[in-house]
Amino acid sequence: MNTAARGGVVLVSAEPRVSEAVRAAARLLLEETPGDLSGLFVEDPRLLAAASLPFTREIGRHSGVARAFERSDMERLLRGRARAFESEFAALAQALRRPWRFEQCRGDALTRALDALQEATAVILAPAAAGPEARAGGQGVSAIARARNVGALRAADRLAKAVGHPVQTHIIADATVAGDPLAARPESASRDWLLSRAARAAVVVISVSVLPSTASERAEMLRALRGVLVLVPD
Amino acid sequence: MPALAAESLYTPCRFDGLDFTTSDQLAPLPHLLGQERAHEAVEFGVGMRDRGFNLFVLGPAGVGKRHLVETVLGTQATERAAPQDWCYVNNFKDPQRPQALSLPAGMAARLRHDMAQLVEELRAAIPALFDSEEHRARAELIETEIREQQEGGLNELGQEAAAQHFTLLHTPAGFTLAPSREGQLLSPDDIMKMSEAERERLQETHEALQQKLQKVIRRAQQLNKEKRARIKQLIQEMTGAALTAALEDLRARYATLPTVMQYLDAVQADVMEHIEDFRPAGEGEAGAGMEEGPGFRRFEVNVLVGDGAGEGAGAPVVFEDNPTHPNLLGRIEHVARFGMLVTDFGLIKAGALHRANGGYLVLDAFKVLTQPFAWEGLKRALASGELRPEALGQTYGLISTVGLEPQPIPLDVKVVLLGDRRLYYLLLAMDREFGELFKVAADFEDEIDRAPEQEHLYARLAAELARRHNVPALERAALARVVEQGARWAGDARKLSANLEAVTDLLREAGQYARQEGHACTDLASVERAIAQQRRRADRIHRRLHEAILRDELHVATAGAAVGQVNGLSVSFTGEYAFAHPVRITATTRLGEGEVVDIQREVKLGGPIHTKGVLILASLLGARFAADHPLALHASLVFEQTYGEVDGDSASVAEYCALMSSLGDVTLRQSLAVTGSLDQHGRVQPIGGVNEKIEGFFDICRARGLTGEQGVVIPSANIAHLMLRAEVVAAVREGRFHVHAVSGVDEALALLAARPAGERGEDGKYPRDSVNGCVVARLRQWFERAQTLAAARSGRAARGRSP
Repeated sequence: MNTAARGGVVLVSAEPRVSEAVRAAARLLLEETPGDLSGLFVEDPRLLAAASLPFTREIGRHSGVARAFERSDMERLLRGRARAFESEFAALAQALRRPWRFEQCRGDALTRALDALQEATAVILAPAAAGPEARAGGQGVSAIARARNVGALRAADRLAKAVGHPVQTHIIADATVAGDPLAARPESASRDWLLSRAARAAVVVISVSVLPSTASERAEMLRALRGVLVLVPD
Repeated sequence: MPALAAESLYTPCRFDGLDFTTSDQLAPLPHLLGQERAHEAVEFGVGMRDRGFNLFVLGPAGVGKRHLVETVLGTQATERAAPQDWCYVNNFKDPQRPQALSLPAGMAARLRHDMAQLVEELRAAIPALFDSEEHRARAELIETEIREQQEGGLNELGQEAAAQHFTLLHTPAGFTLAPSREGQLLSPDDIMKMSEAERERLQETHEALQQKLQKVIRRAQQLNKEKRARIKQLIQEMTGAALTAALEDLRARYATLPTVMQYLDAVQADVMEHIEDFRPAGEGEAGAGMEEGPGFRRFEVNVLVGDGAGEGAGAPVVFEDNPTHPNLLGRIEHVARFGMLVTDFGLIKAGALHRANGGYLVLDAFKVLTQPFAWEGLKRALASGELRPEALGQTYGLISTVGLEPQPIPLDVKVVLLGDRRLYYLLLAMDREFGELFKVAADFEDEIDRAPEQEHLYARLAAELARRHNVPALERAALARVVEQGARWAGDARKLSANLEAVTDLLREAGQYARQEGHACTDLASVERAIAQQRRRADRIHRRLHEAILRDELHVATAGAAVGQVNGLSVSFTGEYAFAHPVRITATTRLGEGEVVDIQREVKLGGPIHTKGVLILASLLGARFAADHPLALHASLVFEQTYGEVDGDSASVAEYCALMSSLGDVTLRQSLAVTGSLDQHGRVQPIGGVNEKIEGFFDICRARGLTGEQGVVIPSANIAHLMLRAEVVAAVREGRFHVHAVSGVDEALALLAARPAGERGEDGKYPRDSVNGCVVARLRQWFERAQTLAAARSGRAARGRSP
């Protein structure tokens, strides 16, 4: 990944639109970092592969109707979405008066985001295609981080003020935090509970070390979180 | 024939037996002078509560109709209870048919205030409930449960698909199922390498999974519906108690009013049904609720009647000076919203009938009749006993949009129409419903009898008017002059004008002159000046005619004698101002077959009454002079130099005299003017405008110089009408001008001819030198000539037939 320089902010998306939550997150994060703003539109290669198969159909999310699912259609659709994202991303970057770069690639958005995080100060992961609840967004800001990750908490606090809702900061506690109601819980149970609480948040700030170790578990967790995800390194 | 004495020409007001110096010392009148009959009628009509006993108060302008009605209604209204308040509220079941609510006086405004407070309270309380932790937690529980079910279905399907080597993928618009092996999707080549049986199995599996996926999606939709229902139920459960508590005070306050209680029930049901409307719009939610929108208007109370008044205010008395259809019957307004005209119950506006409901409504009949649809609307409301506001534009198809049909309001009102007599009788004759709806007529007098007692009352009336209009108190002589002017306006020395407006105007103008002169009281000179100035302001046409006569452009002789020529007197009106001027009337005669030609009529410039006068004249001529032989004459009569229509029969005496002069070749004095109507026996009948006529001729004679020969001949019956200007009376007193009164046409003829008219002797003949004698001689001569001519024609005819 050569998109983001160290200290910059990377915006990773598989969606064509830049939501208000993404704009707010980008603005706040850039205030604290001198780097560039990089945009990365990630196409899911599995969609193209599936569309190439002879008998696959797309089932409408709301209608439930099965319809033809052609690779050429999918490619056209993804190209269009990438152009739309680039256009909005460019407008955002110009509004923020930061140098910017844009790249279109294929792969898993989470993996790309984690790759980008190796070099970036923070990665904003715009919500992937999900149910209507995710599109509607939520309220407030949730942070999922270990207590020692002050940067994540500070970012969450600033974001919360920016989006105009009281911050709901949830910390995966370690045993050193006295009086935490979750202190006695096993880490996995705590995470589940936090996930259920954070699912309604507009922006979720996640400390990368909190993420599960396997790719499938990470994907599952991120899908459950919905909203805009801000990944911050430990 | 002796002329009238100066004392006969003017009847002064003396206030004998009445001790006062200025009008301030006179007590006000308890009732309107001379209008007792009308007063009784108004009191009867106002007091009669039965339907149809509405009033039409008729009489000329300025006689105090409105004042009397106002006084009587004011008294009656305070004795009656204030009527019910009326308001329109939303009909939640059918908003196109707003509901009318009746409340005790003063309560409608209270209900409006209470409802506004209720809405404010709910707008604060309901969002607070939505924000409460209890609501959030319970709603979240429902949402989580539903979401878990939805996701659970997808997860199960995903696992089932994985077990059958398929992967469930999220596409931009939905889902797809793709075959996979060890986590990797198969390529098309992989599938092509399969045996046909394997591909068929793969396809069957795909088909089965796809059907299951469709079921899961349908189930997710059902779950969404279920979620909405459960959320709604939760909201209603939580807000129901709050709403009941908020309405509790209102229900207690309006417990005795069943219609209001029903309305409150409807409000509660509607709020529960649309509770989401009270929820503030959330971030990203488009058009949520009724925040700042028109939606909360549906809980408003549109008070139609009841603002400001309350119990003890008495019955309303409404004077509507602009009785258009909407102003009378109310209207339904529209507002433009998103390019459309829309309306609702809140845009129903009260009309005068609403405001007067339970009381009295006073209208000018002419104004009602000249406003489009107003008269029909008024009659419809009175006949049906209901008030039903309507949008006139919509009724007549001028506005094509959704309209309202408000619930009608029962109408109990007494309508008083003010108008002139012609209008009343026209309506009575032409409008079938008028008599049924306006059963009481209050007919105002134009004039009041004049006697010393009435003069006293008239003075008190004038004094009261002066006080009412801040006119400086009138001195005794000034007040007497006002009374005398009242007689002059009436055109009768024994009557007084009932036109209070004219009296008021005179008083105000005189008061103004008195103030200008620095007088504390209005004196006689100020009143005289006011009378003179009123006349001067209106006499432009009169002056022009006067000038034309003096310049001899209009030929009127005031001296000398002439045959077949008499000064008649013509009255003209410019608005309220009447004036008269002399007109030359001429007659010519010749041998003929008995025709009397009215040239005015021949050229269609003679009115029917004038024609009647000429025909009477011709009849009198025949009766007097054609007993022994037919009239062998042809006569023609004309008003010289008149270019407009002439009507009335007041010139028939003058015309007769001109005709006799021409027939008898007798000269007539041009220093006299004649007025009077004639009957078939030669009796002289009274005419109108006698004062103006005498003054009109006097003005011309005075301008040319009074000779002592000049004067006017009037009917004896008009002596009682004389209220002449002071300068005329003075000239008569000094013998420089004369007014002669006659009862028979021969008296007038003798005056004009300065010789006896002549009476038949025992032999049935008139004296030879008398006017009538000369006429008989001329007619006999013409008859014989006609006989001779007829014989000659017969002889020529006989000779023509001989062989």
